[in-house]
Amino acid sequence: MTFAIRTENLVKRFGSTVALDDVGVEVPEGAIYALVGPNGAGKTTLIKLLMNIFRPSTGSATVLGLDSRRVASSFLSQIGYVSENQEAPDWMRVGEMLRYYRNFYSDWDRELETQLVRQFDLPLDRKLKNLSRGMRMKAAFASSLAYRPRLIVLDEPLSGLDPLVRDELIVGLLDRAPETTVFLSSHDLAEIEGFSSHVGFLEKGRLLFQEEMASLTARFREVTVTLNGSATAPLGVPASWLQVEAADSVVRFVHTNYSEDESAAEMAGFFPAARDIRADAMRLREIFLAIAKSNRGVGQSEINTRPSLEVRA
Amino acid sequence: MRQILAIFAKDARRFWLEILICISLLIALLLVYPATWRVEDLPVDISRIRIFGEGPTGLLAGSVVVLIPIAWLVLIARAVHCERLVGNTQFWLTRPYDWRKLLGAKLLYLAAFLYVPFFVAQCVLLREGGFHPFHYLGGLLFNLLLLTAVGVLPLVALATITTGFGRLMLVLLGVALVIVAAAVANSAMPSYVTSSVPDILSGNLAIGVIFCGSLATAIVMYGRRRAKAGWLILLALTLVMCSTAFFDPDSALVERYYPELSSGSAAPVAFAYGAQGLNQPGATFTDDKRGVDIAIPMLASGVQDGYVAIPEALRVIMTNAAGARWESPWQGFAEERFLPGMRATWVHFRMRRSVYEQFKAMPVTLRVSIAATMARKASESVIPLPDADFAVPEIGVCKPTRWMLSPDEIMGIACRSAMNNPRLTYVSALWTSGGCKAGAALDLNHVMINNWVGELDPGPAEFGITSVWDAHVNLSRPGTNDAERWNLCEGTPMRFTQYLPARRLRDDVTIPSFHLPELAIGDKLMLVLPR
Repeated sequence: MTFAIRTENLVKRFGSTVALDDVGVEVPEGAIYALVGPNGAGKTTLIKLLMNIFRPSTGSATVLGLDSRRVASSFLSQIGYVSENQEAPDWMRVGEMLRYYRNFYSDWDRELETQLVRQFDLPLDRKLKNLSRGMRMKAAFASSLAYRPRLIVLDEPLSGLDPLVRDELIVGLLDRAPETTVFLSSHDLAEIEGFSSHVGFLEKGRLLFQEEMASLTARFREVTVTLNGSATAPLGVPASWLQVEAADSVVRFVHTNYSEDESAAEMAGFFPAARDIRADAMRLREIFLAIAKSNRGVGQSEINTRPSLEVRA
Repeated sequence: MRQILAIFAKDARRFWLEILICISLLIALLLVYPATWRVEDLPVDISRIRIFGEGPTGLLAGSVVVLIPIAWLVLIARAVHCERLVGNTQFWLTRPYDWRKLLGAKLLYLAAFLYVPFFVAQCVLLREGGFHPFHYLGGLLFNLLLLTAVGVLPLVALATITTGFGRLMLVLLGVALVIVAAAVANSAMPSYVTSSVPDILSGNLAIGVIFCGSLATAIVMYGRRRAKAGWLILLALTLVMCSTAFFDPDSALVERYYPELSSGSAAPVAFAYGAQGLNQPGATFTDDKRGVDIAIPMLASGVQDGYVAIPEALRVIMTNAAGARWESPWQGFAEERFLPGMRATWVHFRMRRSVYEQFKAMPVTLRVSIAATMARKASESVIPLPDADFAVPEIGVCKPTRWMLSPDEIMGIACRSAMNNPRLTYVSALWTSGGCKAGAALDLNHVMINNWVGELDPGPAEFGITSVWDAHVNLSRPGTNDAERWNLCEGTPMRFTQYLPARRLRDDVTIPSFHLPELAIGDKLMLVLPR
């Protein structure tokens, strides 16, 4: 498998603060990879390292096969970058900005530009500084997609946008997705759940896990076991069970390694007096909450060892 | 090239107002500055800053000269900050900008809107001043180089390490404070320590250091965007420049630059101890009261025909019978020029008060080393003083200057030279006493007035916003009435003698059994009393 982005033991320190700690991200070519995590987790730092805006303290990163420290100049014509924090040439009109950027890209597609302008309903004669936040983001998208980049890097591109604009941008992005790799960061799980193919979870500078979205949602289940009598929290549960709770005659937990065949037998063996065992699919948000709480030592699972969350690319 | 042109066009569109202001100021300079040459009846010679003191025209021209660098500062800062190099959120960082092309675009912008208009303005000023610009191409280009080294490049460097105009102004304020602090620290040093020897290396060294430091900062910032490295370079540059306030490299080079006179060779000027009559050595406190200034009367002679001797520095070695020895650092020599013939003069040197007290008690042997430049006569021309502009070889264009209250009488000449002060020129003429009456015959009484103008080695250009330099030669003796006042009149023959540097030499004068004079009390003016 070839990777559009790959980092190994990546560390970034700002003075005594460790912003990224031993991060190993792998983004397969063609993926829509969502890097999620709370604010301050290190998502933007990681993206700026990939874009060679920051330099790694130790470790390495490759972007489209090139060491991130050499990502510059003409190589950037293969990357489309949009960030909520990025400044824009505010004094320019939208049309002027697009005309200006054309000079930097040999692969600039005028037809695609026209199509994007139409799709995003961009006012070419308005100055960027006079545009709404959503419209500015759409202009940034158009100027970053019109040259058909091999890799699109988006740093919190959808945060703070109204649902209509968000949908427009996602549609615009997905239209380009078949011909590119998308790497985006977000702290809003709901906004990336619908279209991401891969997901990585970054917290306090550490990548807790990364996985293909289908695999992740397939192996996480919220299990509810109804017993005949009153339930107590069982001891010695497998490490892959998180947040084991007991109340009345019900035991609940999150199974992090669920499979139809093996898990049913495993749970039946653990709860021989079970009247009913139900395993419900979980939304991404619930999965991340379960993992986050477990990692913070919140809840019942302190007695358990940490879940062994392997990379399943 | 496409990228360079795109960035250039973008900057030109965005900063059209700044560009317009810069070009308008240059046009204003072209309109106003030549008018200062036509101002008649100069009240006094106010030397090189006279354009600020000649009424509304001078004030206006002076204001324009001050405003132009300020406009350039804004022009440069805005262009650099448009793609600022400090920070991590700039729009251009993630676009395929090539730093060399970005730098190239900024250079093209400066060339188009600063250098070319400035060059053209300088050419037009030369033309207006009566000079053919083509003959001064070297000087014009040298002036652009100086502008780059001490103006444009340092501003570019400071702009690269700042995030905006406000920050840049704060940094400039900081630089100004550092310069003031260094000057204050220098002035706080005892005057017997500080040297005022002629510029041998320090001037060019300072320009070179500023140029290299600024260039390194700009390249580091554009090439690698390392703000810390940029700041460190500029900090080092500042420290080096400040160190010259306390250490003058020229002082250490005097002996090498002015080789000792070989035996058998004639001294450029022979000095002999010249105490006689009322001309006796004197001692006064230096201005800062921390040292003693010793003045020794001397007789200067022996200058060869066709030469002028210009002493530039001196060093004193003092010994006494008790075996004590004191050696001064090289000190500046009062600006004097010696032509053939004998002339009385004074040699001054400074020493620490304690040294003075130590050596005052008994006679000393003084060995005074004098470093001097010999200049030889290169050309001479005699021109009857006309009533209008007249060309003087090696100087430029001159015109008579008149008394404000008595326009018939000429007090001197005002000269314009191209790109620099004129070459060192000895101007002499015969005075007329009693005023110049219209239609009356010249009444020359053979009293000669003379003055010097210009520099011995002016170089191709001196840095300036204007390409035409003014020099005033005062040749009058003011008086309260016509009989006392001596003037030049129209038709008076003016002699202009130009000198070129010939050689530099160092020679010693020994004064045995010299008694350090008593300190004059209460005033810095020397009290000369016969011993």
